[in-house]
Amino acid sequence: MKIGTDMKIKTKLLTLVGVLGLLLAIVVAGGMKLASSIESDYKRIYNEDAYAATLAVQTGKYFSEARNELTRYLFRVDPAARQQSIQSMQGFDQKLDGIVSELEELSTSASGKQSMAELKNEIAQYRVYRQALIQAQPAPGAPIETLNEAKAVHQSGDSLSKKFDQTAEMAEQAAQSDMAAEAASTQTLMLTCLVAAIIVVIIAVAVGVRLSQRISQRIDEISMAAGKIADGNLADAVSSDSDDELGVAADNFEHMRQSLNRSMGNIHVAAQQVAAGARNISDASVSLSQGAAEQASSVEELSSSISEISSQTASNADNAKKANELTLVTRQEAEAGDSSMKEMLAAMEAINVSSTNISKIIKVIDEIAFQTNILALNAAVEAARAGQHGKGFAVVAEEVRNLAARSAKAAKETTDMIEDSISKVENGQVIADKTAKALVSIMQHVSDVADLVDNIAQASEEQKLALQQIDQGVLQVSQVVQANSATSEETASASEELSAQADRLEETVSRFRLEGHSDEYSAPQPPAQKIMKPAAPAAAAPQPQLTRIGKPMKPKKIALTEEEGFGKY
Amino acid sequence: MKDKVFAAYAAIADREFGIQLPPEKKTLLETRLLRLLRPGGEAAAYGSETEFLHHLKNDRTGRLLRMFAEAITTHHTFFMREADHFRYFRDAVLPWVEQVSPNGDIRTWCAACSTGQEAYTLAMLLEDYFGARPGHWEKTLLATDLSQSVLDFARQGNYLKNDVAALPLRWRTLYMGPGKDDAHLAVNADLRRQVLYRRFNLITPVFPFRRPFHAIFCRNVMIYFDRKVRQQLARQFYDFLEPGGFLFVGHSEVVERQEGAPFRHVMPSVYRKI
Repeated sequence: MKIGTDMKIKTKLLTLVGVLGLLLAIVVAGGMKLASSIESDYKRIYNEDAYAATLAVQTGKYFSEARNELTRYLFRVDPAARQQSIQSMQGFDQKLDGIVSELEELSTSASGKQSMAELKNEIAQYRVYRQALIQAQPAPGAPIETLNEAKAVHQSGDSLSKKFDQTAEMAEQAAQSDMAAEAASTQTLMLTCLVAAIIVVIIAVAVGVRLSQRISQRIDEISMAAGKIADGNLADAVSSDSDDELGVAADNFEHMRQSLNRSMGNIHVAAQQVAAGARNISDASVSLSQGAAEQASSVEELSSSISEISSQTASNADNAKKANELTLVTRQEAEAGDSSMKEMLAAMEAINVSSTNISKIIKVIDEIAFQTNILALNAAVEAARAGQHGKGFAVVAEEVRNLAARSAKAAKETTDMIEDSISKVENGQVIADKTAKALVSIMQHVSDVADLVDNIAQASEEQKLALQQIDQGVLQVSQVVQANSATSEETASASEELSAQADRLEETVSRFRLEGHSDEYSAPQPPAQKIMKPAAPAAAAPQPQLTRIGKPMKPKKIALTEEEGFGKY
Repeated sequence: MKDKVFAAYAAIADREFGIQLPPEKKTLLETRLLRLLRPGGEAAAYGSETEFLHHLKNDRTGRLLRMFAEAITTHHTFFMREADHFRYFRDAVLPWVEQVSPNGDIRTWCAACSTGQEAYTLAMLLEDYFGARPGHWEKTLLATDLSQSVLDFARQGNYLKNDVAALPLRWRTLYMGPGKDDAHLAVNADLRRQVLYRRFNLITPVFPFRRPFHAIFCRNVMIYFDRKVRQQLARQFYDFLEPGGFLFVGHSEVVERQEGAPFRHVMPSVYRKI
């Protein structure tokens, strides 16, 4: 757990307050401790150093007393007095030892102890020398300089006296320096205390500021993230670098953003799909209406063709009826022809008979001509016999002979002609037979034709019915086409509405900047443009159209379409 | 007919009239031309399809082009065809026109009138509605078609009694009289004067009209055009409609939404200029 990031704000604040309290308590305790230590130090200084100094002074004093007593001793004569002095010296010595041991106890430092030990040694040395002097039993009032022991005692006493002075001085100095040191340390401690307090305050302020900055920064971040989401920017992740409440809040914001982003992404995709679908439907309805228009034109053309065929069929039926009537007449006429032909055959037969008769008569005529010729010859002979008188008769006979010849020739020619006529009549009979047969065949065929025409008339009637059915079928097709067309119209309008809604949806969604869809954000298209997109080139069209109304009269164009003008139009 | 010849005819039909002749309409063209080229036909002199095509291409007078137009146009129509439109015209369009036409000028265009049934029906509706209204109403409607022959037929106003039977009896008695023979009824001269028949090619690049229309009927015409021409025509119709004006197309037709013609779909095959 990282301090400051993973800790809960509550914990953090409590920790901060706790730490600050602790630090404060430490500072206060330190202060108090300091105060009490200063107090105790002063007490100690007072108790130890000052006492030590007093004791040191007393040591000097007792030592001097002891030395003075020694001097008095030396000058006393009375052994009792001397003994008294020795006792007095011992009393001083005891007091000194007591004080020195007290001093020794008081001295805490090693050097102090050492110097005390040295002092004690020197005291002991002095006492050894003094004891030696006392045992030497010097004469009272004898000059001390004369005694070696006295010298030693004196020297040692001086040295020791100095030492005691030094010690006293040192003790005083120590007390003073202790005091000074104490004052200095008190100042230091107070300074430390102050510094500690300041540091604590600084730490408190720094941590507080930092913490509050962090909290407010994180709240700002979350608030900014919320603002971004509110503004529709779902693309920027909400960073969460801690586990505290704000981190949880940021996490939740991030979850919300992701969830919204997913949803918006889905909506976006769905809207695009709907828009695309709507466009497909629109296109489909356009092509459907296109198809409907094509069907409609075909249906119209079909209708028009059907009505034409219908009228033609009707006239076919009429014509067939007329043809039927005509075949009846033809049949009758053919029958009449047939009977006429029969009559003609009879007439030709009669001609044949007549011709034979004529032939017979002509034979008679030919015979008469032959006879006449013979008679003419006879007459010529008789005329020749008659001589001159017979000349005229001979001319007549010649003429008669000529006539007979001509008659014979005419009879011959007539016979040829009659024969020819007879053969022609025979031929005519053959032809007439054929004709009669043809007429019979015609009659037969005419009745076949009449049947066929009748069939045609019937078929025409049936066709008329069939055409009515077709017409109805076409009408139905036309209705379906119209229904299709109406449906395509409705579809187009619905798809347009759908398209508009999808565009609106898309526009709404495009206000959101989505993760992975960042391109959609900056350029949201107004829906109208999308709908009108296919017709974009027409944007320039209204202008010439507007001017069209302004200058509608172009004589050349009118002349092309209409010569007579449009009246009020 | 050879494919090449057919393609040449189709190209002319597209260029001149916007009429589409896809390959599957070859038979249609053949039969239509057959009528023209067969003995006794108008173009019998040209003998063959190829010959006629040759002359059609080099025709400077426009006569052959008109013949060709007659041949390839389909003039299928009948009285009360797609009657919903007439009811809507009577119940919704005319009351609106009455309101928006301050000078009483009612401008209706029957853009492909064929043999006149639709135009006369509209004229009867107009007469019904405005005939009894006080004030002067100028309600002559413009009826145009590409084919001269159907216009000639329409001007006569003679219709088979069978065909007219679809009209209400009241109209037949009010606006029609005896026809050229017993089988026919003819539209009254008064009503005939209410329709101005003119020849007009819808793919004219610039419409020559002076003022926009209140209603345009262009029913079952655009089915013969391709999408480009249909869109162009829709834009032109849009330009030549009064604001709020109506466009009627055939029941099987759809006016595509496009820029330059933002028609509002009122009901199937009826559109309104916004």
